[in-house]
Amino acid sequence: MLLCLRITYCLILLQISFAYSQALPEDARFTGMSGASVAVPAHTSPTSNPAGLISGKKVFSVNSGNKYGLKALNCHSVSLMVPFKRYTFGLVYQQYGFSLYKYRRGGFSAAYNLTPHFNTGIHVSGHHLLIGGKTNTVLTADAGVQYKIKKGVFGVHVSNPAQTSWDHTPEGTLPARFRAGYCHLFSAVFLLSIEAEKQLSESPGLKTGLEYFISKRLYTRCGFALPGAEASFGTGFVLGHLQADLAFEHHAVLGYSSSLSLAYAW
Amino acid sequence: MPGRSVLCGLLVLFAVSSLMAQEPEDPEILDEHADINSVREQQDVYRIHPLDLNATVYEELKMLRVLNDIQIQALLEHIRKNGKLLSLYELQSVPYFDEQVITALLPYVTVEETGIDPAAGSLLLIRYGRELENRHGFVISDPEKAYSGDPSEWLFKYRFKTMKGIEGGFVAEKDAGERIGPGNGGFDFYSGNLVYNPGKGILRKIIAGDYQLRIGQGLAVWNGYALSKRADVLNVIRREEELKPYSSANETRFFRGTVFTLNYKHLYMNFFYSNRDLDGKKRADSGFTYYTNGFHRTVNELQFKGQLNQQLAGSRVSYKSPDLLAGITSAIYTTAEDSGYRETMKLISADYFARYRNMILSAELAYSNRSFAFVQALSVIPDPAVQLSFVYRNYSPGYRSLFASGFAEKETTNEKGLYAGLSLILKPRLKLNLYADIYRFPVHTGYEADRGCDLFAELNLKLSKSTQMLFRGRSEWNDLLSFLPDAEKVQRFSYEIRYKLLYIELKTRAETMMTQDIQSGILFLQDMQIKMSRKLNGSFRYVLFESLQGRPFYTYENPLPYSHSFAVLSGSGVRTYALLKYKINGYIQCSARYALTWYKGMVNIGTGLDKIAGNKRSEINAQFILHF
Repeated sequence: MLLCLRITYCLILLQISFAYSQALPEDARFTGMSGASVAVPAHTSPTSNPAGLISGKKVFSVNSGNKYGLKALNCHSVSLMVPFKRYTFGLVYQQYGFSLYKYRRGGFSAAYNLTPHFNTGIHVSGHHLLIGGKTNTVLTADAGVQYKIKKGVFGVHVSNPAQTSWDHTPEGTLPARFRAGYCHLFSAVFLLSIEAEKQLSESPGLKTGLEYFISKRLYTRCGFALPGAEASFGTGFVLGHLQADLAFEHHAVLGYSSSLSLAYAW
Repeated sequence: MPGRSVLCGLLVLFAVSSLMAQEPEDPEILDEHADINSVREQQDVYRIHPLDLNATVYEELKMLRVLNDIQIQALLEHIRKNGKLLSLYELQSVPYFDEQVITALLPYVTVEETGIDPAAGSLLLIRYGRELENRHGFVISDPEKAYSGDPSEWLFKYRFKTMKGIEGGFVAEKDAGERIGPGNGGFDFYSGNLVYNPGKGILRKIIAGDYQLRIGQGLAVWNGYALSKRADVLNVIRREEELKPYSSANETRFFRGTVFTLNYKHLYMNFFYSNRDLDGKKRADSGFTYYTNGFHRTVNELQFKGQLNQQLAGSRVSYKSPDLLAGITSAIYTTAEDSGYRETMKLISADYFARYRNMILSAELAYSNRSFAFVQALSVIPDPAVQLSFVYRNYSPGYRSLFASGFAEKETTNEKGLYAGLSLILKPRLKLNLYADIYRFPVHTGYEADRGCDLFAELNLKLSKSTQMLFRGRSEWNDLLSFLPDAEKVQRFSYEIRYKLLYIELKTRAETMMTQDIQSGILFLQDMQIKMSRKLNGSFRYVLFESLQGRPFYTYENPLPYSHSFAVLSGSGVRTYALLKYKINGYIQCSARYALTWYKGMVNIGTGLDKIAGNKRSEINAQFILHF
């Protein structure tokens, strides 16, 4: 009976994780902005648009988050970004799960500053899933671009266009995801980002997020996403080379998610 | 589907806004308890006697309904730092004031120090109205069911204000169907008050008679007009004049007794008492049923008139400074019936209003019936082109206050929600207003939606000084589990254009409403205002409508000066009216209006005693105003 319950629980998690693994929690900065990150420039999130990784700094970050209060969806990640000439390279490792169900992902990103206004990037991930003693490994690829105009940035990001599948069945297919958005930099202390997202098997979504520097060291963020009417709030603190971010997200039906990130830039 | 609704949520409305004064929002966005007469009345007073910006206070500027909280604070701060305004042109140098805001404000303000109270003087208003077709209640032969009076409506209003801080007035009113005469004590409704407002000294203000209280964010005690979700997405923080003499004809939203304010430096103390009779009855189980429509036309309605007695006593202590207002309010009220049954309720609340740099915060925590209600609001301008507002509310299911009017989807109990509003100035003449409100009702029956979401977007484009366009989209749905077949969704889109040609101002609006099963209603509206001469103005309207079953269109109408109404357009048909206003001189103004609503394919209009035989309903209104 207990084994039956555990298998049922794993199957439920599997269903969630198919969407989850393609939309693993952003770092706390973008969680606080409801994930509206595709056009935000100079970020440090390796799971977002790779074209936005151009920041000119080396960054090491760790992130810990939880989705909807489910213990099995405690996600931890660690990443490293290193600029080199007009490139920025990134490595990321993420995992969540428990003994009978474990998901891991390792990824490599490369961003290139083509022109002062145009960045492009790719990201390749290896996904490894352990469920009920069986394992599966697949590879996915992402690509993205960002184009800067006077006070804003346009961004486009495509994930897994090849629709890789765990087990070559429609149910086991990791969804392809397309995102496009715009980020307006009103000033050095305030930005507003909006994006539209479409997964092939889902209805389109709209996300909007904003970030505001209350003072030189303190950020505040908020965002809203549809469908699901998710509202998010976040805050960040900068102390020298260290930046800490905390964010909470509320889904009207599924409940609360949280995320904490620590980053060291030099 | 939510995605589709979001993607098509912004339809541009071309609205040409004339140089007319700012109009209130569409009624669907206004609070259902809005007593807008007092707002329009206040605006009309300041149009005749402009408000001196150098001698005004926060609450007076808020009453104009033109500026949001940040703008009011910025203006007062500008005057405090730089001294009095020498010219209205200086408004351009006040932070957060743009051309649109200044244009909307100009009709109501001045910087000339006249030494004269702008509202000093007297006003006499007499209004008459009647429907030309008789409702069933007027022709039925059974005296137990028929209306006791004639179809005419009467309103008499007199108000005066002296230079020495004394003001007062009275109101007498009769609705259609109510009897007038000595047997009924004269008119059906009377209201009056006397106010002493010296403006200085320990005794700051005293009102004897009918008055309104507006405290905090409305969780405990708030009479009258209340802000809620609206196209002006930032004006969600409430701060009004806490004590106001009552001068409206609404028969329920006021107190009757006395209230006074003591002041010492920054400390204010208010003491209030009210004793009045209400219409209602005791319910079979417990509690009371209140009848608030104010009608006393039939034997059945008359039997509940004044059957309940309500007494209220309370006090408020507050600290006020330019950047901070904090107060604690406590009250106890008892409602009793002749049989001896009574219920007593205690209220206590704490509230604050604070300004910090470019942010305004306000909150209120109230306790009653062993339950709490809480609201926290924030308005912030992080950039001159961006304005944000947030309101979080959490009202326990058990919280009860008869006088509450908090920020809510339904009422100030059993509701949790988060509202976010955003206003973007994309270009000098292009403004985008957005809001999103997600809410839930913790306790609900199995047949009602327990949660919902409300989205709104408005694009405001000012093509020139005389041309403005408005595009509005609104999407509401209940029960966020949208894959359930009975999730109720309604989407509304409207397009409006106003333009001015010499002495003619025109407004054209197209509006549509759709439900999740793609049924739609549509409305076309054409307004025209003509300045025929220096003394004579005319207004004309033509509306073509076809509404959804159970979802009428509401159109705001400004039928006569100092009044407003909402036409409820249900079914399919045409509504039209013509209004003439004649200013005999600077003191006397006469107005007359004829309105007609014609319904397609209907044999009767309305039901019960309100039924009208035929498919046509027409009415006439006339008004006389004397300023002296």
